[in-house]
Amino acid sequence: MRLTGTTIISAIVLLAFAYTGYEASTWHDRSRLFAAVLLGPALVASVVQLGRELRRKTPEVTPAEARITPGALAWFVAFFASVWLFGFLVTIPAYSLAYVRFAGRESWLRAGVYAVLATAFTYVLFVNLLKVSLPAGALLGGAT
Amino acid sequence: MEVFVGSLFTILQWPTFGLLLLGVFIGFWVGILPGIGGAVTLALMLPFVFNMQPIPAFAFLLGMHAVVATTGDITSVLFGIPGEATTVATILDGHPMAQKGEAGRALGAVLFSSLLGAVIGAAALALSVPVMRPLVLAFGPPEFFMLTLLGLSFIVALAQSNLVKGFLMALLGFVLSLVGLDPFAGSPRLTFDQLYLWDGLNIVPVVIGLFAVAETLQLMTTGSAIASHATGRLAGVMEGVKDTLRYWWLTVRCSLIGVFIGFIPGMGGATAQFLAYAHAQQTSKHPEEFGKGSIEGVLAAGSVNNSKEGGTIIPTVAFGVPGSTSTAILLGAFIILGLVPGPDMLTKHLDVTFAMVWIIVLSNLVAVAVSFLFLRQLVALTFVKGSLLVPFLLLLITIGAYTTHQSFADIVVMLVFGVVGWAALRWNWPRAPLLLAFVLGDTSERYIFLSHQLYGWSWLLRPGVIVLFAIAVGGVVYSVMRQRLVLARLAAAAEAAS
Repeated sequence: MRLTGTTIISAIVLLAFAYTGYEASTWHDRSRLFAAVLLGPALVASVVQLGRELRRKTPEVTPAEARITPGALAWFVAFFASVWLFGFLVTIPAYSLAYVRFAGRESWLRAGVYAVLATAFTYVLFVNLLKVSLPAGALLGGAT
Repeated sequence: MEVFVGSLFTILQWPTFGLLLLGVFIGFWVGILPGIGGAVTLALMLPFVFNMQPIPAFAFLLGMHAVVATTGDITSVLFGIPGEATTVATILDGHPMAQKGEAGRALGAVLFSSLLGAVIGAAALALSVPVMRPLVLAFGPPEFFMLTLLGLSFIVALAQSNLVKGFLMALLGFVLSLVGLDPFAGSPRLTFDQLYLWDGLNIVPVVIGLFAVAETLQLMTTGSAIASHATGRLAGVMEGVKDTLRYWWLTVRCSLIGVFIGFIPGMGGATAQFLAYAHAQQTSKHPEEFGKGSIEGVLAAGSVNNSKEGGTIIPTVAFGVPGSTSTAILLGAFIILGLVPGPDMLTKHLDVTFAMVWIIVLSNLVAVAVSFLFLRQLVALTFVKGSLLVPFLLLLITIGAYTTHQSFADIVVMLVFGVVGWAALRWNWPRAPLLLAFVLGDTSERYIFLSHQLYGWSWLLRPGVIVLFAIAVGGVVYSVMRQRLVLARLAAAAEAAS
């Protein structure tokens, strides 16, 4: 028996269907009609899938497009953390400058021009034209 | 006829035509730059159509989507790198031609045959309306429910070795569509006491999360320039145009293959390209030249690419069954715009359906004309480093998700589905069935509810339902049998080799 990523996903899927079944039992008859049709086959198929994964002997190959380096993941997390803490209008120039300069290894000048253009694009398109109210971050009292 | 001509004039009005040009401009970039898929960009652009009228919204979205494959052929020919997954077959002969110094001729042929393919695909869409209308109007809720299952079964069957996973992802998509206030009794379902979830999960953060997040992470991991070597001579473009006219019958035949394959949900653009390519090779007087720079191979791949767009839109518009991931996202646009695919699109909203025909033709005309005029400058775009695209993509995916409800919760939903999308990619769980079932969930629930209300469970015995169910099961069984046959052949070959 191997406990691999896909085994865990199979177990999560089975649990999700089981939980939906439990929840659906409290719904009105009309509300649960569709769920009732789905959940029988869903539970059977997820048990079959979990059984297959538990019996699997060879690990699955990771597709090239799913490989992520720790550096890429760190930059990704940093962007969303910064949006949460400082909001869009601080994150976009700061992140663009830092990413293009350090991850892209461009000159400070290029990174600076890029940051200015990205900020101008955001401001003109989203704030001015589309009237999207971009919030300040949690540290600046704007996150909701 | 009046509606058909009227819809052309509607598109030519401002700002609709401006939005079409904007969509074409974005589609250009997306097609040329490998790493940003057409489906992902369509997902990113969905939030922008919230406040638009249907025809301007489709001018923007469909205009963008229709040209992606056209310009994707440019990098396939010049660098042997497909701009899109659906332009892979163009490499087989287009790139060898470029290596032999005939890049211009190959580009002329592929771009012009793409244009002719688009026109044939759009004509098929227009001509299908009178044929589809009586068929669609004869269907009741049970048949429409079975059609959604049929479309889904084709997508699940595509999962090949992961059929059970595909089936589970589809069911998971249906379960996700249950989230929110139930439309019949008004009681909350799977909302975990969160007011945000009462509206249900919005398609925009879900689609962006499932597709764009994993692709952006991949670009952040590779980060390199798309093309790094010289393109060679770009002369001889007109010779390629003449080749298209010289082999006009091949172009027409391959375009019709594209329409037919596009019409079958789940068959995919790449399949259409290779089928047309194989057909061109089988019927050629010089099959030995295929793979070494055959102009017929280039024409087959180019013409099929765009004709399938008209084909994929037919089942989306007529039955609400999308033919591909991109059209599933386009179906999301229908929902956002308050349009219900099906009979209404062939009667009440016929102008929107005909507008789609014109959008496909006009956007490809513009794209091909601009490609011919600025070919050298467009090639330069492929030298843009991946790292320069990353902040821009992060900005688009985040604000794109945020604008759904202007809430950070939208970003959280997007990130959750980003994890789901990446995990699905990492452990080979197909994402398309989940998206398709999620999009079709509301409609399917409504049809099954109406069927049950009208006929009890006897709707399961209606002839149309039985026929559609048999086709769905037959499709899946055929797919399983074919897969087993391939595995048996591989095992026999391995045994013989050892």
